[in-house]
Amino acid sequence: MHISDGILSAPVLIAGFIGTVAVAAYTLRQLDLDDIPKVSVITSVFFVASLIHVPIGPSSVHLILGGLVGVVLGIRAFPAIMLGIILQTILFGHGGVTVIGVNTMMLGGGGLMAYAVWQLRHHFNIKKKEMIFGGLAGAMGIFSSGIVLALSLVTTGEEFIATAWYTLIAHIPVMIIEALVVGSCAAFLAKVKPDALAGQLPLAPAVTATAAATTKPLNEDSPK
Amino acid sequence: MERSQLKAYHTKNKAIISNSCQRVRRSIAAIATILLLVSPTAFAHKLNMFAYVEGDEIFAEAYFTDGKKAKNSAITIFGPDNKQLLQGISNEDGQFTFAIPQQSDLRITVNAGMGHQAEYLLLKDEFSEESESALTTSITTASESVNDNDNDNSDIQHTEPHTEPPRVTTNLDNDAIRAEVERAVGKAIKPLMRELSTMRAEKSLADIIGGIGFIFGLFGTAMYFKSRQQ
Repeated sequence: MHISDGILSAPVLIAGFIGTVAVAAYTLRQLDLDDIPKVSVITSVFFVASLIHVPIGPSSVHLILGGLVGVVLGIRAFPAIMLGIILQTILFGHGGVTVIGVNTMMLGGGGLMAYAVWQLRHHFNIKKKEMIFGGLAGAMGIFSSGIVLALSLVTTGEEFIATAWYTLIAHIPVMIIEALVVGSCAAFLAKVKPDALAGQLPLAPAVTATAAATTKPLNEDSPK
Repeated sequence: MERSQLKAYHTKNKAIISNSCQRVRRSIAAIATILLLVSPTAFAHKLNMFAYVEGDEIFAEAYFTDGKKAKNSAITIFGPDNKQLLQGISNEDGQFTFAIPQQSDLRITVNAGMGHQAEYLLLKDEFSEESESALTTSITTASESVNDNDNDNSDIQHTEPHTEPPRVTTNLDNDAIRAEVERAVGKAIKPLMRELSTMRAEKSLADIIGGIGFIFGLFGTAMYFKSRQQ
């Protein structure tokens, strides 16, 4: 799910770069020293994920794993995905140099949306919620990236609803596969190394006054 | 969950965690190796295209790197001044054949939807007559170099380069023979072109390892500077 060079118009490309720089600047500030090894491992996973083929019928799809990055890294997913996309562009020729901004907004935005869905698990008290919400987050990553893809293609004159439907239907297999992959990864990590997952505490805006009163330093991050 | 509760939960799990830390690390290493081994050649969904001149027609083919053909895709041909010359839809095999619209550099783009676009530049001298002999000689050298490691096809490889060049020089004025040669050459380079464009699309293991190394190096540098600040 990368947009190629030569499709989008200049204003869209520039908007992509501006948005990417703004969000990356904000999220990079949240990057602590202790996070860096984890971020670099997950960035590598994202970087090679698109090389993994899953055969479906006569065709095949490849993993994207924006959702997994979001679930593990939280909002740090954005710079991780940005670096992954830059390297995929330079080394694999996937996408294109002019569309790095838009592609980062698309997949990085998917990672952030996945994180938001992942955080919803704090409001549910059910068994295996890591598995369920990890899976939902994995699907959400693809879903919201598909929406951004359709939105940016609209600027080229394609009709939005049709494009969005087409894009989402084409990505249903990936959505299912990513839901399984991210769900099982989240469940596994929750069992063996829960602090590897992002967002041990609910998202700051989601926390009501009572919870805020009891927990003083509220980062989105796990307590060290 | 409150902070204190979390802490208790974490200390309770500490023994398991320290034990499993090793296992996680080992499994990460295992996953990394599997990723490197599994990753075969290319992206499933990178769109490629190539085109060549065959007689007075141009043949273009678009396909994804997993072998799927880009069927029913919009194909547009632009002239040197970015003027749109032709537009068409590829057939079920992702192919599109059209008459040469004008004797100039042509830019052929294919759009397979959902942000997939590829282009191919067909240079002007690819359809001029002089280039023909150049093409045949390049084929000669190519097939000769192939000869060294490929003995099965040696008779075919040998007859082609030896018979074709004289024909071209002696009967250059004969249109029929020229067209025939053009067709034969077109046919001969077809697999070559395909091979070339596949090779260009292939990702080497060096790229993958280099990328991972780049990521670790970059974050390592960031970590170094961050740790000096503190």
